[in-house]
Amino acid sequence: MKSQTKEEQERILKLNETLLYDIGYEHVNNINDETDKLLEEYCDIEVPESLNVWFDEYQIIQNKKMKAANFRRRSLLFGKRAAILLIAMTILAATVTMSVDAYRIKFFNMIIDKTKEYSAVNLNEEMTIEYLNELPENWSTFYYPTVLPEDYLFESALESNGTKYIVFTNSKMDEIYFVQGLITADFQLDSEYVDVFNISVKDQEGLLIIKEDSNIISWHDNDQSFYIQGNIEKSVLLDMAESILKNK
Amino acid sequence: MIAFLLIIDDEKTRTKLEDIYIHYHKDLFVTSYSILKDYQEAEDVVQKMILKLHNNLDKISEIKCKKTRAYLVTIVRNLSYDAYNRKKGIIFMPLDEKYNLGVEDEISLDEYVINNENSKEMATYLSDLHRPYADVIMLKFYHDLTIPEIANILNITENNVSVRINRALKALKNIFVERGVSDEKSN
Repeated sequence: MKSQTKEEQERILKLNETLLYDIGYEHVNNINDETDKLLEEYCDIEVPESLNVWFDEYQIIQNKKMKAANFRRRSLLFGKRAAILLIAMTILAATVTMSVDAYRIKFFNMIIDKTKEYSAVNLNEEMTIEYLNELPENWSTFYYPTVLPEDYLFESALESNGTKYIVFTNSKMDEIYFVQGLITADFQLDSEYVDVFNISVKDQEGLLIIKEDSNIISWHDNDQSFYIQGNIEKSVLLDMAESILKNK
Repeated sequence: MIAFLLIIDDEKTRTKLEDIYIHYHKDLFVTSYSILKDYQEAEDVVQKMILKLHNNLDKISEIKCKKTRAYLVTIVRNLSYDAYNRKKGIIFMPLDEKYNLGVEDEISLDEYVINNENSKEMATYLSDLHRPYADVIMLKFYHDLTIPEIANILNITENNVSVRINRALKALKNIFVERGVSDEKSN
């Protein structure tokens, strides 16, 4: 027997399928013709009403089952979606919380900044000029702080033996003394019952003296000595010291 | 909203089965009655057929067509014959032949295709074919059902389906030979 190639086998298979498909098609026509003949033959036969009733009841039961099954399926789907949504919301909430947290940090930072501003107010040019105008007219050369603690305003200024004094007060009448003089000036520092620390102001060595009721910073540059005393935080005192400028 | 969608979804399914019932319930009942000659038994068979159909609704793509009608009638007719045989005490022994789907053992009909382009002629050949054989050929090659699916709707074993297909092909070939179709080819 001659062996068939793969192509020949495939051709035979397709031809068989085609023929059998056509046979099936013709059989469908035959069945329809036979059924039509049966309907003619049994034209007097009526389908029992009980069959219709059974079908209606069957449909109701099946619909209930289908509804229950669909509801379970959709509930499961809904549950999955709800879970996804919940996760998404959790992530969103976490993001918002983090954002809020970040905002809170920023807010607190702002508060801290504000607090710092309250503690040490950076005076703008206008404010500086405003209190500089109140300084004695005969002061040709002097230094002045551009940072003041919150609520402190210029109170008075005087000069004695080449040493200039500027006094700032707040609403509680607490005072800050800013003293400047030639390096030869002799500042009397009360060192009893105090803590003394070496510090650096404007890259110059200085002293920080912590007293019970006030803090003092003293430093000097090439030709001037400076002295600030007040009942304020040492950090604010340092900010104030760092802000010292010379008039033009 | 979800409840509304659930209802819509159910309506689609309900409509399909209902449409089938509305269109074909008389065809099915009459077919069964023509075999059983008993209202109650015919009704039982149609009910059984509906139950069977419910799990095979996806096999029906179009409701109002000859193909679907033949499919439904074939099911109900086989169920009716089963009921008839049970009533008469006729028990068919399961066929134990194996239907081998291997290419070497397949029954080739290709030589007959060339000479049988006329479908009407094909229809006359089928009248000579044992109806259960024609049914399995139709279900297998026209409806494209699998052997388990055919076994399910005809209420027979898968092996019986395979044997029936094999015998149907042999019978078909014999009909072609008897009618001289192969001779036409050689002429």
